[in-house]
Amino acid sequence: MFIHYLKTAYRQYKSNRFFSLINIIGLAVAMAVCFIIFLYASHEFSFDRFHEKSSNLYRLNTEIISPGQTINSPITSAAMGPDMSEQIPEILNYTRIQTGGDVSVFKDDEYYSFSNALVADENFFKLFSFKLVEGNPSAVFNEPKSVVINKENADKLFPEGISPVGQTLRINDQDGWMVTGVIEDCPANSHIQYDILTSFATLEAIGQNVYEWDAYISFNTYVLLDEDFDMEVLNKKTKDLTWEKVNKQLEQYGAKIMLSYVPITGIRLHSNLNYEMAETGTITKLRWFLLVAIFILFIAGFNYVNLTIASSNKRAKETGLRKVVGADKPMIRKQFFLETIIITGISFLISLLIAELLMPQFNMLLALNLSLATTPIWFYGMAFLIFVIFFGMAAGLYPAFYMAKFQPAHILKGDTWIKPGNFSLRKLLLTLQFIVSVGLIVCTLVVYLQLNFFRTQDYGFDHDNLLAMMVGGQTNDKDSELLKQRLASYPWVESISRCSSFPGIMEYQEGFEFEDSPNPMIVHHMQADRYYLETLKASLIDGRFFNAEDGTELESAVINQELARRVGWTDPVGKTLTRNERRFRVIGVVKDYHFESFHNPVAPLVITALGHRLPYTGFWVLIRHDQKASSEVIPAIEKEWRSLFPDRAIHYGFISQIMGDYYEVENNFGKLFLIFSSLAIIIAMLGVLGLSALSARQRMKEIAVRKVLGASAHGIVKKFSYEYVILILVAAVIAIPLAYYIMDKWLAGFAYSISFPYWTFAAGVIISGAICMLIVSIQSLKAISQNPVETLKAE
Amino acid sequence: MIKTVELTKIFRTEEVETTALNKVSFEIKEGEFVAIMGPSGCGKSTLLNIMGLLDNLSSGEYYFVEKDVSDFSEKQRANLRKRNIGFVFQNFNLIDELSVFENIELPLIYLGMGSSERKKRVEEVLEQMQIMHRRNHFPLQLSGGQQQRVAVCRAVVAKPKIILADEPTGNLDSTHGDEVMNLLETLNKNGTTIIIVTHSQRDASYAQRIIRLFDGQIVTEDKAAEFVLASTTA
Repeated sequence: MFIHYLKTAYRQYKSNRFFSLINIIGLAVAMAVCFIIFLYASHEFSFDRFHEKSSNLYRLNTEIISPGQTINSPITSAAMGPDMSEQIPEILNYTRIQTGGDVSVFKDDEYYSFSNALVADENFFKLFSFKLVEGNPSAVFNEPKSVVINKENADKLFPEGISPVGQTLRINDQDGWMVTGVIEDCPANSHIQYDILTSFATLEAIGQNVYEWDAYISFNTYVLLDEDFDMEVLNKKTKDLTWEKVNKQLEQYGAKIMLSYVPITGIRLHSNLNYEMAETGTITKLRWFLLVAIFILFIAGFNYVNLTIASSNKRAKETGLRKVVGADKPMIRKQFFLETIIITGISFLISLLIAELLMPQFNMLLALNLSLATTPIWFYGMAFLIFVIFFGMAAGLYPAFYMAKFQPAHILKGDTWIKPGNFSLRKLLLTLQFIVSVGLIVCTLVVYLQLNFFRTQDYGFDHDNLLAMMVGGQTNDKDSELLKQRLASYPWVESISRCSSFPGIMEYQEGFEFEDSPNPMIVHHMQADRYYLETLKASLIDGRFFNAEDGTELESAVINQELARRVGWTDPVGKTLTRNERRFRVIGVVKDYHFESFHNPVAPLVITALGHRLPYTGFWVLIRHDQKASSEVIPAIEKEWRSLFPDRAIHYGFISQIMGDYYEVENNFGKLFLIFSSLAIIIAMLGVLGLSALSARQRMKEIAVRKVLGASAHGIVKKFSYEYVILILVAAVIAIPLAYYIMDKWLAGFAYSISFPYWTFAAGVIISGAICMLIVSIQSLKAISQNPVETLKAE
Repeated sequence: MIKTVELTKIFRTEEVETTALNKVSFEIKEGEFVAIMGPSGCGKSTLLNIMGLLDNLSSGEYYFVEKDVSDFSEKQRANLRKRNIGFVFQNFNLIDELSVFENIELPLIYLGMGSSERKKRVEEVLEQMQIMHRRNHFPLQLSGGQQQRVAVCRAVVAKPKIILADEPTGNLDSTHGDEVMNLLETLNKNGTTIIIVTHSQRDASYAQRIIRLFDGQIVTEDKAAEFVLASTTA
């Protein structure tokens, strides 16, 4: 019987190529999109679960609360981990890491660039399951100036047969780093990313204060907790210890530090803090994609149900006959279920091919490295079960029961089982498809407009034709001045400045006290020379900017509007602010400009004159160039760099690109959302195509009679389109409030967003309607073009 | 074999009620060849569908092989039908997507017969009906006569006790029509009960008895020979 069903199914598909193709294409594309999204979801959920102790590994998060300001981040001081581990029994062990970003590594005279440098302490391998390929995990970080490099780079640096362990390297401008180990390449599903790790002991050796709770808050601390810990008790003990160690002193400033624990396995999906090491909070993106995946699957399923039922007139005679010769209802149902399973099975196989084709694009847009080849077999099994069996059963359920109900006596008498245009399930499913289509068009437009808003927003300074070069090393003050002087002589340099930070790279915050204000505040602090403001093309709204030689205005400060507003100064020029006994007088107020992304509101900023060096900041040379000379800029700066610092790697970047990178995640999300939404709409419209073709075919006789009686083509098309217009309008009534609710919430998540573009509602309805009308009209016109005599003869 | 007592069938739509069969009572014995005649719309096909357990009656009684099947469920009727009744239709009603062999094999599949036994049985009837050479053809590749021959093969392959034929020659020319009637006659001689619904006096002449319907009621029951004689002398 099974073989018989297979044969029947095959011949059915062959004789209904057009509709089978619509079904298979729709299902295959839907499954491919869902397969990729499910694979992505599985990747995101797998983050940090490869650590053997992952269920008991937590990260310390800090909440630094000062009057009028709260900063949430995963950044701690180096002292917290050891003290807590010693005094809180629930904490069995700890490890600290510090991100170092880009470093230049020199082996002999060869230069290599690493982009994910980490400082790690001696407990690193005790908590994490990263594997050493060479070296002793309990000793690699014990000594100062020890370095562990990843396998990929070790293979590049050292030829085969030479063990990297025991070799020495120069890192940035420091010689004498000893390779103590080679570590496996970092797994993609780790929120900690590395390609080179240096020992924490190095910091201790150079005398960095790693023993105070409020010194150098720049580390990530991870703790291993006891199996049976009670979070409430742990929090209480942590709070008490924090009070002892730091909050007792901070109380006088109205500030405090709150520590909390987040499971390591939840960081990638749920964390939403400043200063994360890599992208986090992906659950939002994932939810969107999963929602679209489900929509797409539903649309394809609805198409299947709709087309099967709409074409059931053709199958009715067959079903009736089967019943006449002995088939009962369960047999008929089994046959139709099997046909659905075969369709979903074929679609599944094709979907894997489509997924393989779409995967590179998806990987590129989400910065992933997913691959069908490395997808575990259980995932295919699950996908098969979900798409072919569950989905196949669900999609096949209604048609199977519907077909089994046919009464052979009626069918064989020639009764038309389905009266065209008169069955409500088809209308219901079509309406649902239109709801999804209209809704997705509105959502896609809103996402696009919001992302475009980022691109076109006024940053408060001109970010085009602006380039920053980093000057590191012990003598960076002198070196950066030298570089600035060299470059200033080029005719295409419109303006050039030295500074410790610039928009895009603002990494230094300090606590200040303010005149007339009882509350100290932690604010962004940077240093710049007198050319900074004109180089940025930012504007001053009060007072003046620095105008003297470097090192001569050390008591002056320029603040931004936001700082004045927060402190409550209405006339800031002349007011004073203090940091560690150093007093600065405000000489000017700069108009707020966005030095961070539009995700955050403009934060308070203090700019002081170059002269006394801020700890932990490098020097940057900021160059504004003539746009016409763009092509000359890079060769020139590379040439000057090589001539001044031949043994140092050059680091530079365009501000527009650095700022643009902030939105890369959203841009790529937007692009993918657009792709998936378009696919959903295409699949829905494929369904409309199939249905309208069937409907036209079933109404051939009606069309012929109308033509004979003198109806115009225009009149017939209008009549046939009417039903769809009504459905789209009903769908719009449901889709619009839903889309508004969802998108309004989404926009509320941004510090700066567009006001809701209500015209997108009309656009959603018009676009869906226009595509649908086009399809229906073409199908109707095709039917109308038939000779009515032929049609009536055939009927 | 078949007995009806005051069998009534009423079709109802929202606005109209039509009595297709009105208190029809008759009996057909095993091995009989009966023709049901009457003008269009008199209820012939409705009666055939009820006799074939394809449709249920509105009131009255219907005995099939001595069993009262008036209240049988659809499943029970399907079960009884597949073991006892073969159908032949005016428009052949073959499944276009199945080959000649597969169309004939279908009733055996639903009887749950094994494939080798099915093959044997199908080949037997193909041989018997002399269409073995067409076994792999599809219905649309055959002439009307050949299609009806296949339909007869399908009706007899499960060796039913009774064959119901609804205008079996309606779509055939006289030569092919005679061929089909001869086949049915041969089957009847071999013990199968045959009931045909027909407009054709020529076809009715093959029957031993004729039931005449008019407006859903039996008007006469004649011996076929007498009826044919009467109508030719009239």
